[in-house]
Amino acid sequence: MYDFKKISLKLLSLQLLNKNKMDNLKQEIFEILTKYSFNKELIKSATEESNITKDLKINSARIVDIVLDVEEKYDIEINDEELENIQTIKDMLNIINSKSK
Amino acid sequence: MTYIGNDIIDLNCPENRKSFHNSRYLNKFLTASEINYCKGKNYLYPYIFWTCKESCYKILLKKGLNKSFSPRKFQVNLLSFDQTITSIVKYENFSCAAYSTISNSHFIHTIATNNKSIKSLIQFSIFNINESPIDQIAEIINISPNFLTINKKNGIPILKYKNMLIPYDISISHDGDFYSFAVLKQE
Repeated sequence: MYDFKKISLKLLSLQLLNKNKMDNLKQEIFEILTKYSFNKELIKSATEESNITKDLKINSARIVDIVLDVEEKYDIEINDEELENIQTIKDMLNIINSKSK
Repeated sequence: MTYIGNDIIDLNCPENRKSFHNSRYLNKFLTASEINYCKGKNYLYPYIFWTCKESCYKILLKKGLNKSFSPRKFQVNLLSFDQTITSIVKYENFSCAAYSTISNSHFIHTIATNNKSIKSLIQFSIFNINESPIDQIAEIINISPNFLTINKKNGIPILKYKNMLIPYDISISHDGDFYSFAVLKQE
């Protein structure tokens, strides 16, 4: 017989773990973006939907620095096609998540 | 349709100096043949390649490309070296001509166009970040700066006078202490 209460609790704790992991990742990405941002105020008001170049006004030469920092920190490689598809903070989070699993 | 793109890079900007002397950084934005080309040559070549790629990307955005700048997807072939360095920049099936100038170790500026025949019609200016871009553009296109505005549509700059679109293709760039723009009157 399944113990549904136990399973529910297990699922809930997994969800919490994932949420914590995502929150930490988001925090780390915001720190990297802040390091290379010309206008720190824009980062403070940024959301996951913010476009990294258009909304956060981060210089394209610094985007390469950001990608290198991300690759080093999470021990992943972002290829040219993947880089083309990173427009928002959410895109960045998704690619890190998919590669660091 | 003819479009222009331009890009400037401040050679004395500390962030650029740090990045452009880092081999990991160079490997991330230059293609294998570009890296090979740069070997044993003047340190300025990677900067030239960068501004060519970025200028070409700005043209592609105007042509409707909806992707982020991925510099290694652009292949730059340098063709001639006079006062202006001429290159061909390729991205997938698209190619454009790029013209780069180096100024007294202060900056490198590149203008690109998808129509080589209009090169002489492109007007441009490079100025200090403390100066007003509006005044500079107004002077070049011979219009009063009072009602001239630079707006952006999908991240692409457009010029308006008294809130009406005026027939100029414009490209704007900023890096470190410098601003640059290029304009082309559209027929």
